[in-house]
Amino acid sequence: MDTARNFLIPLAEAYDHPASLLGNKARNLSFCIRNGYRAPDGFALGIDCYHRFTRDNNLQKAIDFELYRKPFENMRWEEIWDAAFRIRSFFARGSLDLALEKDILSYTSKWPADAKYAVRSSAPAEDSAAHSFAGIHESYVNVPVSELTEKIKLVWASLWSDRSLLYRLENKLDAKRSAMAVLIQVMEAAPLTGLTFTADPATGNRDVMIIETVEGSLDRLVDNIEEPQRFRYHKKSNTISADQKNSSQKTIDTDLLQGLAHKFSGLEKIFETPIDIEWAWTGSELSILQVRPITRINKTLDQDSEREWYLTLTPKKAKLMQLAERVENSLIPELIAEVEAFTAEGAPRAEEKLFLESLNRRGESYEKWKKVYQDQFIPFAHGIRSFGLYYNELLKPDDPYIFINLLKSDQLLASKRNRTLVKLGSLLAESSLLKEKVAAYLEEEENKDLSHFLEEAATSNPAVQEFKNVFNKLLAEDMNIFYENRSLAEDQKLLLKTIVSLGSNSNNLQDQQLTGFNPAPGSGKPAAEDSDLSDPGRLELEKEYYSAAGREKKKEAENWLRIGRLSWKLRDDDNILLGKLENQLLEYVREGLERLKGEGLLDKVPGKIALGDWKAVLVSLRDKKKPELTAVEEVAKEKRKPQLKPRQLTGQPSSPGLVTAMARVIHSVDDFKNVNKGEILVFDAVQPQMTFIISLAGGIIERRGGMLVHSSIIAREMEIPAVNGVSRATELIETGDLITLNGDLGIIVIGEPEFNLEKST
Amino acid sequence: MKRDYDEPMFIDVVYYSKDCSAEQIETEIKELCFEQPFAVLATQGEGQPYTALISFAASDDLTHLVFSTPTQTRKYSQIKDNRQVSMLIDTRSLQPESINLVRAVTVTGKARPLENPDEIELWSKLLLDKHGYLEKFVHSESSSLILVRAVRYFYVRRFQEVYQWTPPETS
Repeated sequence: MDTARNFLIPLAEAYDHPASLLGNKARNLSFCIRNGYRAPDGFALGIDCYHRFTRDNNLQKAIDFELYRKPFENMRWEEIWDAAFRIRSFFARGSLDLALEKDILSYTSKWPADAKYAVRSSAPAEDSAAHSFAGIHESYVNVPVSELTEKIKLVWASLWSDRSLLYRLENKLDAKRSAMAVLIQVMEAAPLTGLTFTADPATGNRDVMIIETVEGSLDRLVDNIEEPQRFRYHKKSNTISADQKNSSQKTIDTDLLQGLAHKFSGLEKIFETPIDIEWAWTGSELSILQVRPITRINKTLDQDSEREWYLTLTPKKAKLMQLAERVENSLIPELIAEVEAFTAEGAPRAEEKLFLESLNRRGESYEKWKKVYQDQFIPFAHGIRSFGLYYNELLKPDDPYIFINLLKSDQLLASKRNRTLVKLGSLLAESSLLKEKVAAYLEEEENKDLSHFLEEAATSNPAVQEFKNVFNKLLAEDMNIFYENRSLAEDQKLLLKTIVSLGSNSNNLQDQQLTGFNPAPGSGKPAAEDSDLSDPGRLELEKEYYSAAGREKKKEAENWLRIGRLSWKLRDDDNILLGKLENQLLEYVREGLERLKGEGLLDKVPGKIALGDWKAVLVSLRDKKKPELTAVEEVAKEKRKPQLKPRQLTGQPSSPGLVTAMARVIHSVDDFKNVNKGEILVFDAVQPQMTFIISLAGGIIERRGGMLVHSSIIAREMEIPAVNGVSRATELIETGDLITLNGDLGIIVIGEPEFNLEKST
Repeated sequence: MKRDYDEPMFIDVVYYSKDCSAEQIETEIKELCFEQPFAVLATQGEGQPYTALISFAASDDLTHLVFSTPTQTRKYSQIKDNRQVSMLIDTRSLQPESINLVRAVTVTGKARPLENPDEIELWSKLLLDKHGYLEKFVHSESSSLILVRAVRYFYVRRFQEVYQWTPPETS
């Protein structure tokens, strides 16, 4: 085969080649040049280069293995992210054809050695009239020549990025036959850049042109880092009107804007359709960076809103830095302070007006934090993934998830809670009087207060006293959490059963599976400092990380690691903190319901309460009318059909190890009291509020998938084998099934390989 | 478990998926058995497993599979001695590139040569409906029609996903 020379095409000639080879981005720009417009000089790599690269590095099979592991349309976004992450890692580790690499170097030698480049995706389906793929594939700016090949590989890999795959999923494009061309252009300094829509994309009005501008580089606008100045150009009257601007923004010459607008109109005529244009004003000339048809005119925005919501989950670095700052220094302290203030306020006041005021405050606070969670905490939790991408780009490790070892922390709220549980387990195992008392308590029919029950014994026995104190502290500090429409502190028996099971094998408490809690020497005392930080393996990894970053990128690497660690901790802690806030509301909603019942406006206070009902309760109490309450649905337990038995199921290997044990399917917290130590727990979705039960698990299976979901994090912390992303796990597996869980390969074997049926017939 | 504002539900379609329902698995097994012309038959004798490629057909309810063999073959004599057999039906010829897309079913069951003329007429019709070109072979004096009562189907897809499906009790 000829060298790749044929596929390295000067931008000016790109229009002579079909879009199926070069993609529309390169062709559209080339078309602009043909028509007398200016664009930064550059060249394109056709899709043949992509095909050659994937063939040489055997990537098609790797992609196939990732994407067809389970029906693609059935993957959750976190699983899609994981698949994309691994595919990207394969691409980054692949090597470019030597002849092509040489060609690129020789071609770029016509520019100064310190020239910087933009490396942009130009996939055949991209920027077409039907699909824009705007912001879906990767583009890199300010790339030095030494990093060109690395970035080209990453642009290729972005054909398989999470965003891209989700976009294809929605648009039903064939992921398998996709290929990607790349456009490389030399960067030019520009004092003014902007984005223009030659028709109003919101209304479809073609008489209006929308022009947005920022000073300096365009990525500040595209990545939403800087708020642009926005103008409307009215084509018929040839006038410009400005939207309100910040006082800090410089005034832009109207003549310049009008001149630009005329040029954009000319371009629209050439393309024969409304277009959006990314452009730069060099100070003397207009330079076109990108042109594509507006695909969205007259379409409702709703259909894109879900994907757009997903895109907000993957903020760029500058946004993440801002978020990190806000989350660490204001949001989390504020949330903690709010919970503390509510706790200090204590039990509901008798006087109705005061009670209603407080209920309202709590309700409003709940609504506010729910939104903060959605808008800021979830996107910030993506910092773990962004750090992973950064780390892997820097170090190209064999194991793409090795970066997790740099993030782990035993200072998670869940880890602290679990250490307290371990301590209670040990205390219980050591005192026979305590064991007797606890056994007697569990025999009681009513769910009494344990502390009250132990009162008498505690006065004469220090072990009982200590247990009582620690247990009370656990209830007040760690279990004052709303979960599954109730407070976790309510069912003391359930909690105690977990502790009894934990204590049942006290010899192993310190050294076996529970070492994951990292208890300090001296039986489960909470570790004051993060022992993960001084772990030698981790220190070594950190050294490698900084040495790969080098002096030049040290600051950047520090920032990324900070984001990664903060995000890791928040990912788990936020649910627990919110659970505490919710618990503060729960008490008041329940009191409100009691009062409604007292006033004859409600027949019965429901056992499970929907917090969203706080407003209905408040209004009913105020207006003295019957409330309309949300029905809390019971979890449906679908039975497996006897005719079909799963023998082997697959998922993601989310925590390594091999274990054979009985399955215990967890449908709700009520199932916790039946859990025996060592069983393989089968969940639909694991939440940090209830991960204390995982202390008892011999293995974990979860329907919800992802290498970075809560169960993966906690399982790895505790060294419990786990497989997640198992479709319909809680329905296909039944309590009592004998399970062999392979956490290295993500395989679950169910039942024994008997052939009794064949023999008996 | 809790599904409040925790994760975007719109992508989370697995929960509603019918992908591993009994109906779906049954349909997929039927597709395989009805559309694939050939199977690998495993028999045993003197402690030695033995495999052979056969043309086969399956009954609508998948309780039975039928094939024809000359009576002087190894598989025939082994079945006469030991009725327990296994069959493998797969799509590897359709998906040579993708380990995830190949599907296969292993059937376990009991085989017996048919002797009753009514039975022979019924089951040879089923076999010849699928493999008309075998007419002479099936009707030859030296051939025997073998009926397998299927006990279990082990269906494999996506490289490592395995389901055990049991056909109805009565045929």
